[in-house]
Amino acid sequence: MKRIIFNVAFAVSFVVIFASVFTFYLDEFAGAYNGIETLSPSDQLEILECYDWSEQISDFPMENGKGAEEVPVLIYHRIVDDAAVTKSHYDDSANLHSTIVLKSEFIKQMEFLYEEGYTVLNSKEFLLFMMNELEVPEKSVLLTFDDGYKDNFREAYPILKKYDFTALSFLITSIIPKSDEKYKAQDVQYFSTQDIENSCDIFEFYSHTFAFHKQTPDLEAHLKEKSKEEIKKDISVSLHNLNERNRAFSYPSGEYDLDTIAILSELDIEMAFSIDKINAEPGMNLLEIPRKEITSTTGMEDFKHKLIEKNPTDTGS
Amino acid sequence: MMLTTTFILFGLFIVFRLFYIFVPIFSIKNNDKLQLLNEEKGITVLVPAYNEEAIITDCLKGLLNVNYKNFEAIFINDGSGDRTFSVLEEILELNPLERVKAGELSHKPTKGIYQSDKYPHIYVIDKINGGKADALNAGIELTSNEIIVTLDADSILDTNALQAVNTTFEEDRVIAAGGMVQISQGYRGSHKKPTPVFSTSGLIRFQIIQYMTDFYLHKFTQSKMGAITVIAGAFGAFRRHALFEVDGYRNTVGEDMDITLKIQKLLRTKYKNKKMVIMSHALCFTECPATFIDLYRQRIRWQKAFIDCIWTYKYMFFRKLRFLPSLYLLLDSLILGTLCAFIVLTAPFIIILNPSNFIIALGLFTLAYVIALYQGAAALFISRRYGVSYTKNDYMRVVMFLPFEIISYRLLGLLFVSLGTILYLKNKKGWAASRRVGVSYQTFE
Repeated sequence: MKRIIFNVAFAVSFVVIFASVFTFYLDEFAGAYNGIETLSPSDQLEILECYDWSEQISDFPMENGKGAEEVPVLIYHRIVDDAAVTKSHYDDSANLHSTIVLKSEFIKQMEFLYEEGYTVLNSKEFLLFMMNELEVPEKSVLLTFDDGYKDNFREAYPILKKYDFTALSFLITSIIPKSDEKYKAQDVQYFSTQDIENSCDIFEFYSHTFAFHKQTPDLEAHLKEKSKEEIKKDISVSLHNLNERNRAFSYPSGEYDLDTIAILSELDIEMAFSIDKINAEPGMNLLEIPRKEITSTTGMEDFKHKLIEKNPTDTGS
Repeated sequence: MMLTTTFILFGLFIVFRLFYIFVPIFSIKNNDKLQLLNEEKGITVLVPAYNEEAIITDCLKGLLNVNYKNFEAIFINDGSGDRTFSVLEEILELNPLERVKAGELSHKPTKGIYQSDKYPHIYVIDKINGGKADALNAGIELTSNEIIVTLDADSILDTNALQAVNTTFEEDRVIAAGGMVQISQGYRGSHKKPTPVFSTSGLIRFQIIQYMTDFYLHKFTQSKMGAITVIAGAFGAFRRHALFEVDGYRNTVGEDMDITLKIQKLLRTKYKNKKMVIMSHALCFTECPATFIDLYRQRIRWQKAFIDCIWTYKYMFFRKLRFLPSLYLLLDSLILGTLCAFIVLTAPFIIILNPSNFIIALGLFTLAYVIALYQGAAALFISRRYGVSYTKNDYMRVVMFLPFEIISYRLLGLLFVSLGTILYLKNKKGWAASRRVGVSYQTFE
């Protein structure tokens, strides 16, 4: 009897201690184990010299000295192959999620840019244009992708490469997987470190925060709700991840306030992009650059319209 | 990928440890006493000796003090270069003798066979050097008793050891059995009634805990599961016919593991109902290395012997060896015991290179530490149930020592395992030639 009590006590104490230690570390284990290990605050991507091409300024053939007065900046999220569209890509009312652009549509859009002779700018060219220091062709455009979905690499990258176009990709650095996983169109996946290294000849990578692409329970954006210190820390961590590439930043969901702008300016970020319906033009606040959203419902006519449409004359100053 | 592997290995590690801790805890009764039988089966104790002049008298004294009548002991002097034979001759007063050989096992020629005048149940074979396996085979050739016990010359039998062998082999199904090897430096007082103590150097304390864990937890559990893979060369017992059926010992660095696996093969093919067990009451005391360099040499030898055996038996796992012993050898001994040693040793560097895994490593370490503490505690409780109980002060010493030992000496063990493996693989061919140059017969597994 005494032995049985002892054995049980021995076993129970073990289970309790072992289980508490295990529970204590469970989050770490689970976080790491959820299959994919993602970038931690101390990690750095190995892309320091990878997109140095974005520092090059093209010698634009300017016809009649007539440069662009304003440049449309387009923002994309996901690009999904038409054949791979499944239930998971539709919302509750059976519409394709607005953030998804079908690959066939994307091809048509890029084809159009190419055939119409559009110049796709890189970040340096665009920055100088915004600072009134560079003339860019009348038909210029800046392409951007938010969130860094893996399909951008799988689907958009080859198409961009085909037309020799480049784009800015804004990454949420805390969700970048450190090891490559198989691409599954039905899942929400992100650029892995390998994907980034393999596509930096076309994409320039910038920060879309470290982990603040979130909302508080009452649906307020983190970049507005969290304390200034926390926001600043989060963004500087993402800059560290990105080898301190601070040319550009994109506001999650385009949401920001005056404090956010102040923080970005303290962190020496040169340009920050939001979402709006107008073109970018010199004289605008470089930390409030508008982008035109391309969504699942953007048809070809709509797309052309977004490119051609000029800003109302009273904006931009 | 690496993380998944780590988690799987760690899970395996935990599962094995849990078995080692809780199988003995729940199956061994308090005051488990040896049952003495009236009838004594005939036992022959074989003691191979190579350059053991310094220590062989202790071994002999142990045999003379054994509480058992129906046994004989045969010392086999394997061409020692020192005075081993003269020492035996002086004490035993030897007379030449003719004995019938079975003629089944080959071995190096014998120079003479002698019987003691003073103690007629003690014999000595003087032969040309041929290595430990060769010496054992020469001894086996001369036996007629049903049970053969092999004993290292540096080991001292407990007075009740042969009684325990007798009781164990009362069960017909037992074909071979391993004794419990204890560290003699961990005992004080007379050999007839030794008192366990813990007041000794850290290096020896570490080995006391290790042997305790190994025999009272690991070997006991393996015995329960039918998965014994090593009957320690220091003290083992076999049915005579089994030794002949496996053609005796093979000359290799790990002849004890080799003979155990050969018998496991027999269990898989010929004797499906028989078994191999551990004799929890059969103790022997062996002197463990007292310096780092000696410990290093011993452990490197053990590890080389282990890898050599794994290599020799590589095609036999699961096919010629039973499932559980195969699983134990490959998973616990090879993967967890050897491969993980490398992983654990490289872990600090991996953490330095990739600090994000630090918390995970810390978590796994803490879990392993808790398990190690419980395992140490379990070993103490179990040995106490078998009557190995320390004084209160000594238990205090253990409690103080254990937490420190786990993160110091035990990690050193990992280094030995890794080095032994590397040295073996580096010099696989050269090793075969050096096998016979035995420094000492102090092997254990």
